[in-house]
Amino acid sequence: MNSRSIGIDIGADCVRAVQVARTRRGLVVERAYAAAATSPDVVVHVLRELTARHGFSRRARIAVAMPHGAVCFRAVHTDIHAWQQARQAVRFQIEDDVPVPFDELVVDLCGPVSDDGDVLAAAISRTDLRCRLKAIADAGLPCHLVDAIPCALLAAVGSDAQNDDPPGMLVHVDGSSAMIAATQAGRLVNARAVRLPEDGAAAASAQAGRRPLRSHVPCHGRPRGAAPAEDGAAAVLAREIDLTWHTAFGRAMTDESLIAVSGDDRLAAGLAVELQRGVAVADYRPEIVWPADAGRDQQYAVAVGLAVRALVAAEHGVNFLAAENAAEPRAADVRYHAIAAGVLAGAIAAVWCAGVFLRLGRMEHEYQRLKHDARQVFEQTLPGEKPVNELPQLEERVAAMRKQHAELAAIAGTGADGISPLDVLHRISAAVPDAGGMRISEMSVTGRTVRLAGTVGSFRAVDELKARLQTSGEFESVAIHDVAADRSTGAVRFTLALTVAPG
Amino acid sequence: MKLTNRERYVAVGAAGLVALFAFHQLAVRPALGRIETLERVIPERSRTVEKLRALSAEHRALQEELGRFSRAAGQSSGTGMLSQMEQIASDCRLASNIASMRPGTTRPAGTFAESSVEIRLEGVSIKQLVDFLRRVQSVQSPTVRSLQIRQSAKTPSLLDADVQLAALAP
Repeated sequence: MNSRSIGIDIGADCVRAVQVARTRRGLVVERAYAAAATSPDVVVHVLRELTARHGFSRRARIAVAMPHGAVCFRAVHTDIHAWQQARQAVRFQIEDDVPVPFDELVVDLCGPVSDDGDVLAAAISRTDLRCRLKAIADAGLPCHLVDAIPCALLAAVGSDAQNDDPPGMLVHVDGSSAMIAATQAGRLVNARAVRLPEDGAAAASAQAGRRPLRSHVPCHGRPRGAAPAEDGAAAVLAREIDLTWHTAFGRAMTDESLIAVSGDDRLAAGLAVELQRGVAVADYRPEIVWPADAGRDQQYAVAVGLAVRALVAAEHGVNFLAAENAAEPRAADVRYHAIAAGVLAGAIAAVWCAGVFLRLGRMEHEYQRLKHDARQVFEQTLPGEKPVNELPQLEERVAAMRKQHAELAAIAGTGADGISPLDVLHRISAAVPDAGGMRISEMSVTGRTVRLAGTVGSFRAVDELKARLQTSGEFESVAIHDVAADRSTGAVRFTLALTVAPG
Repeated sequence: MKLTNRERYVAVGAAGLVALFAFHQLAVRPALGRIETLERVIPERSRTVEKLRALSAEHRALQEELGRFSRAAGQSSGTGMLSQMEQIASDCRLASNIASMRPGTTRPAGTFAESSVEIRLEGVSIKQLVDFLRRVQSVQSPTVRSLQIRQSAKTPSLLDADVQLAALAP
């Protein structure tokens, strides 16, 4: 766990930052810095310079507080003691009591639920929270905790929780507003933001930032302004303190009632006059160690408290950032699922791309093999011939060879016909009937073509001869070319044209 | 210039998208196009190789056949054929029946020539003619190209025959 933290108190006209480290000596304030900042741009600039110029750690946990007027406090009673469930239940419980729409409402508890079921809830608007986070983000800083000022003050100047601690009141002034927090037994009981008269508030605020740190604790850019406190601010504060006391404790203040002002003894004096009783300047807890030669500058109380809260990381206490994240689990889920889906989609795309290129490589290899095979077959078949388009070249060559072979086969008598004149004589002898007075007078055989001339006793015998030749299966076609009766002999002359069946 | 986290995410995301688009355009898309082409070409090429192999085999067979023709042509000649036919006719006792024996014209057949002989036999019986044809057929060359038989004008019980023989010549 990180042993350093930075508390940043972004006030109305001043930014204060404190870096605290956890050591064996306790919580040691390492750096403190304050600078006037009256506009958001200046605030961002000052925040950027914390790490860039003033030596603040870039790895420290960072805590900021919401401004006074942005936080509403409500004392509520609940039967739920578990922190997360109580926080969710209280959100519904106070939704009608705070001037923030429910959808915008971010609620956290200022401490654990007491045995009696009492707890102080702090509520802010989500828009205000994002506005504060944006200022930090614009400065390029991470933010780990968003607190409320009373909680930070209690962490810096409060005492450890003791059941017998008497009721007390913490007062913090910033610009034209003040925060009044009622405490008891080390716990916040109630808190209120109070608007002050403009002129008096300015004076009070200026005084709150007047006390210098000693030299060896870096502190630069101190806001100027040392106007005396106005009686008006003290009077308003005194009235509000009295009212808050009554509201929180249900009785009037007594002499034992502790009232502490954060950061200014002159304001404390003014309040003492108004309240007609003692008012102290709140001092830091003993475990917060300042350098020996540095004063325990009270103007940094809120910043120190924020740093302590970020460093100690107490389970209980206001952290609007955590409350927001817990209240918006869907956003976190959506981000998680979006990242998971993106990673999954990326993995699928990568696998798909790998598959595409693997397939392409395999197909290219197959194509090259086929090309090589074609070239090899061609070169083996036609050695010495240059392959341009293998198939047409080889087809042309084989066609020429077929033609030459057919011609030579015809001359050599071993063509596809394979029929010699002697075979033709055999076929005709087998097919022609040895009856009917048939006489063959002439026969010519050329290739598969046969011309047969002769005489028979009747025209019918010619038809019978033709039919027998056809049905013998030895001849593809049998055609009668000439049939005529010989008046001198009474015989019938015929001429037949035959085509011998192959093979 | 310092960028916020959101600006950095947007910049990285945009750069990633551009890189993905470029990768798709420059690598994936051409690869897919090439695969599509190869899917069409490889079966065609495969069929071409099969055809080439078949043609190659046919080419070898035709070469062997032509070689056989060449050897046969080397063994025969026009004058040899006349004496060969005379010998066969004598063996068939047809020497006296030979009316004429004319060497025919030759015509070119590729690298070879064709030599032919036309033999006219007169007054032969069908048995003698068949024996003669059988003897001619028993020798490898020449072969009988055509046969014409008709009734003998002098002796009707006998036949006159024209036998045309042909052979390859170198």
